[in-house]
Amino acid sequence: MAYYITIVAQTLTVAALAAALWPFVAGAREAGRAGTLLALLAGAAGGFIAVAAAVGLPRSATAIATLVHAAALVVVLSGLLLLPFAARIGRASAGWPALWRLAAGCVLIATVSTQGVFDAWRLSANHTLTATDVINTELIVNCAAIVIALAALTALGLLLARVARLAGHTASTLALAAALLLLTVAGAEKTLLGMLRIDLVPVTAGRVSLVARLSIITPWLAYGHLVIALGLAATALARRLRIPEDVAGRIERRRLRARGLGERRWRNGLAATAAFLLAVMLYQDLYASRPPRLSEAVEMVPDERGTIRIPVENVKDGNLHRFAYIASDGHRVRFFLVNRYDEAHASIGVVLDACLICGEGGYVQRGEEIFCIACNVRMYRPSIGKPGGCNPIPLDHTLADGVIVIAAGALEKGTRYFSEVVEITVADPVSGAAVKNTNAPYQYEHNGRTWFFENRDTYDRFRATPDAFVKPTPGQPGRV
Amino acid sequence: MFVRMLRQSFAGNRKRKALAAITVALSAALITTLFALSVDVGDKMATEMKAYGSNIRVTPRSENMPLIIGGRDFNPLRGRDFIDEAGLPKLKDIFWRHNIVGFAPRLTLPVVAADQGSAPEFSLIGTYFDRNVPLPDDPGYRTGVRTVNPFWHVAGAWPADEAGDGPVGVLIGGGLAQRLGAAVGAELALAAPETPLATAAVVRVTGILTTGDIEDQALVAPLGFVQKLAGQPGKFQSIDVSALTVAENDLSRKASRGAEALTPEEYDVWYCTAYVSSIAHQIEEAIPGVSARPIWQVASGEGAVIGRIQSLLFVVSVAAIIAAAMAVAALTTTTIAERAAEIGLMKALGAAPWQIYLLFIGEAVIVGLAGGAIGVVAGYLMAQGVGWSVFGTGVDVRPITVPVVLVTSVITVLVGSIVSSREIASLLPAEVLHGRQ
Repeated sequence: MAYYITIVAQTLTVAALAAALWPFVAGAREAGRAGTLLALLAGAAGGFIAVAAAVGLPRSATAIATLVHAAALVVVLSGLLLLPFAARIGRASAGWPALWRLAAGCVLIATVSTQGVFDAWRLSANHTLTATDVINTELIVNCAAIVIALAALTALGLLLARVARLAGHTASTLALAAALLLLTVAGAEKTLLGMLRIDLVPVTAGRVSLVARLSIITPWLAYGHLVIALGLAATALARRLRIPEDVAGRIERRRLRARGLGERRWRNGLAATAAFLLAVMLYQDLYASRPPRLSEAVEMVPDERGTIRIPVENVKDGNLHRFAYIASDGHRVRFFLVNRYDEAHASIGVVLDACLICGEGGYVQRGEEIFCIACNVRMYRPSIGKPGGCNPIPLDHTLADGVIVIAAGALEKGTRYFSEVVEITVADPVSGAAVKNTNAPYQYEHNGRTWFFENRDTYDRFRATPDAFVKPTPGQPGRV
Repeated sequence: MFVRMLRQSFAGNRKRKALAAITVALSAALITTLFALSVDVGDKMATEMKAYGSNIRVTPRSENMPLIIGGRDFNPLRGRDFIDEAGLPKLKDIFWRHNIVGFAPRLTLPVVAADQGSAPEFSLIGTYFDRNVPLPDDPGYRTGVRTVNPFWHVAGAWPADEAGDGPVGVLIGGGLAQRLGAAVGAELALAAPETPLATAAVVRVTGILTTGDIEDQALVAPLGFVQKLAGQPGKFQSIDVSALTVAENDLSRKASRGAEALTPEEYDVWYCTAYVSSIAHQIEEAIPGVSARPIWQVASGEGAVIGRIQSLLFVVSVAAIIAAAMAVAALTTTTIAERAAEIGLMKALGAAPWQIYLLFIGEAVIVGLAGGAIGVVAGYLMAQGVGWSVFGTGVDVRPITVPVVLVTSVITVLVGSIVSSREIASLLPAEVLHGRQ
């Protein structure tokens, strides 16, 4: 439910903002309402045409998206540049004909809503409204979410149009300018990325890094727009009607009080609507859309024989027991132990917390079941410890007297499956100086172990005769 | 003030309000019934599509040639083509082998009880109960119907898969047990209806089986025994496979239109995801000459029925809503005519039009909620009745029905009263307070 509300709010808030603010800022009063409504309808129709085109021509979907974004960018940028003129003339109500100002606004509103509808479809394309054609709870809930979101945005637009008048012309113009500026930055990122993807402009490091920098703002776009709406409500609160002490007569006082009450309703309504959308979006982004988290891994340090020993007794309860080992090159190697059968028949699967296909995403336990986070496949528990499919990578180990013994060397081999690196301090094998794995100038792999060096000299000496410096450690590879 | 006026309006107008509520309740009851039936099946289908486990039926490819004319199956190869038992371990050799939890082959032979010569024939199903199938990497692997169909209920004991001394142990379906009057421990002599059996067959019932499917009218015996009776050693007709799968999504639906429709990247993703369709595809690759199809139990049964009549249900619901809205509109028009003086007074005292509308909308919402609530209860009972008479089971009314019906009822009343409350705007205080029109 929150997913669809978030998608609609993310993509269409700006259309509500533009439709509410432009007619007031540009001084289009009566004709403004009909024009705005027509522009919104035209925008929605345009959006559906773009979606239909993208569905009909799946191979050129990226090109269509780029076209929509580029058109929107041009229109929004022109709107931003024209805004000072429209606003000043709107106030003086002379010069530029009102019809032109309104038409410019309508083009802006229609384009912004076309882009909104198209983006809403594009963002949710891999999410299905329903699993089956027969009407079901999920379908109803998802459709209700879309209706609720559209209703909230309509309410936001209507209330904002009222509150903008209370907040004043200058504040509203500034708010609209800020909203359009945010949209321009986000639009520039989307357009440039699209052009890079369809090879319209050559890919260069500079362009890619520009896109990456601009893309920081994109997820915050709708938050920015809602904060702008809240800012207008706050401005209206600061400029609220105060009944002067010297108003004579009960009738006049009551009339002013009634007006003040009405204005307070608009303000509070706007703040409540914006807060509702903000709350749903925050819930979705910070909580509901997060992937499942891995349970805490217990750090294990090998004993003097270079082995990690875990008694079967501790891990046979049927839960997933996650451990971690810091390898010689600083990689954090996660592995887990789980009982494949019941407690009476303990048979422990000892595996790395990674999959050959899905990578290091890891596995989680939900109830009795063990899932791969990356592909959501449920593991057939008795098969854990065997290679193949999406099973975790098996880890070499031995079982002695009810204790599982894992050699550190076996875990060293797992370093290539994990990318997480922890900063550790190690000794240069030649000089004995302390170096950090993350900033050591030289490193060398010998017999499955990585060594770090403080300078070129020690590095070269080690490379020439590595075995002279490596103290044979039991359990480590390279031991004789 | 608003609340007080609302209460006043209900106190003075109880009969008409009750009438409006009952009108809405009737339509709400109808909608609840139709909606509850549809959503119940829809939710079951959605759950099935999203389940983490599903079953796949593997049959010889010739069985899938559609030769059904006028409801009769004319495929001459049906039941004549067999799968070789030697190919079974290959099931555990595919990419998603760990996701195949179990499988059970099946060979069906029509038989009659020897001492009841003219009685109708029944099926003798040969399968694995819980049999050891050695695999290269797991010599102790056991599989059979106990893994594939965990919901099969047996009163008594499961028979052994390997033949021991004395008569072979079998399970007897509940329905068949009643017909033959067989209890646990009874011995049955079997005969073939036409051709004589390859060997003499006496079986001993070890348990009574309840599955809710065709096995209720059949004998279930070890596969080897049935193969010997049928003279088809090492052969069977179909395999039921139980697999751990991920929920269907857009990609798997696209793949279901044929794996050729996928781009190479999509094919890779699809092949390496444990969709039931990709597992079925890999089974077809592993065992030559077979076809593997997922079994959607709800989707192919009740789902097909509801899917076809769904639009009919909507038309009936919409008709009920329109009828109720028109009835409410007529009632509201009368109310406004009757309360013209009251409205005129409100206007004269300076009430804005929206405040008067709000009063009528408030009334409509309360009437709609009351009518809807009565309708939900009545519709719940009606749905149970329909469920028992059509499907033979009660209908599980999903919680979503309640808000949907309440919202629909409120909208019905709102539409009805908004249509007629436009007259409010045209009432002039001076005229109505004077009593002249």
